[in-house]
Amino acid sequence: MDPWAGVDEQHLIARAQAGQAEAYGELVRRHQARVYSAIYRMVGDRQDALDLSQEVFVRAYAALGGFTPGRPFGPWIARVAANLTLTWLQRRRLPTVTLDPEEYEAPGAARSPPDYAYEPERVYLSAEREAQIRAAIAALPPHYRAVVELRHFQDLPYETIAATLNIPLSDVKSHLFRARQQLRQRMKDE
Amino acid sequence: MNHPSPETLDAYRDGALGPAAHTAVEAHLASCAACQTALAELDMVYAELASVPETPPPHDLAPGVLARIGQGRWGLRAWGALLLQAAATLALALLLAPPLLGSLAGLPWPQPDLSPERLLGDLRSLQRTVSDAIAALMAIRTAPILALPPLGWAALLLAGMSTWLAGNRLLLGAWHERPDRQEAP
Repeated sequence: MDPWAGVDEQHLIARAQAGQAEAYGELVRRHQARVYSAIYRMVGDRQDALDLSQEVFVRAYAALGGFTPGRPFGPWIARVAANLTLTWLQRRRLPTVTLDPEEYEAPGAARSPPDYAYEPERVYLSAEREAQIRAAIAALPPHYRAVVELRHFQDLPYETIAATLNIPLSDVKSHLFRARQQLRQRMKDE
Repeated sequence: MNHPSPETLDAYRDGALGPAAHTAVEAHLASCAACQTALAELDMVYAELASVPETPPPHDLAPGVLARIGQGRWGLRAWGALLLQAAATLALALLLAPPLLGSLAGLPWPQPDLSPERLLGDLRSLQRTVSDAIAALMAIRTAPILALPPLGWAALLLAGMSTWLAGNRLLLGAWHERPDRQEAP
């Protein structure tokens, strides 16, 4: 049994800040799904998402000394993930994903969908639709992906998004508007 | 009220309008089928995005993250230990050089006399020894290495073993203090 499993998150953060790496390992285990999901939505590639997720946690450990005790770890690490992924996307010249949902990585390959276990047709349609939505997100420009991730999936207010991405508030609004317009168009077309 | 702009409708759907603007758009929507349709399309975008499930990573990321964190710390400690090892080697060499080179050059061993006159004499002697050492080293470079006397070999072996043992003790200490070897609470 994992000896850290029942330990309070703030206690884990304090232990990790004191240099106890195993405590940080437990934080990684608790938040890896959130971080990996966010990055995968933004980059659209599982291997890239894995590499970036590891990089996020390694960098976050180095920056843990500046983390304010008492604050939740999840939103902070999600913001670190979005920021690092945006930087990675901007530096990367090549397109990150195919725009054809047929060629998009089959989602749910590593998941079990218990609700749909007896409805294979529904499973297929759901997976196909999910792939289309993921492809639509991944087709957005990097900054649009970042604001969509932070607003729609991390539920952050505009001001926090602006601070996280270091862009003006007006840019957050315009990026979100244009991103939703593009998503709406793409979803209507499919 | 005229039709709200797409930007205003988008901000309305996201709850980003002020109270007065929000009420005005709401009132307009109640009687405008076109804006209701546009809002429904926005609702679809929100619903579609919300339907994307969280995707767990294919394997636990913690071991890889901890290994990288440990590597970073191990690297620093190892470099520190290696620097100490190099410093210890230099200190041993400086300590052993006078007797070794003295024996090579037929000079007497330094005595543990710490009086100023003696230290001054030792410094002069050291200066001569360094000069002799350079000459001896040049001779070693040209002469067969087996020509080193037994005392020289013994001193060299002793210095090497001491440095090796001390350095490895430091390296092992750093290894045992790796973060990923720490115990749970």
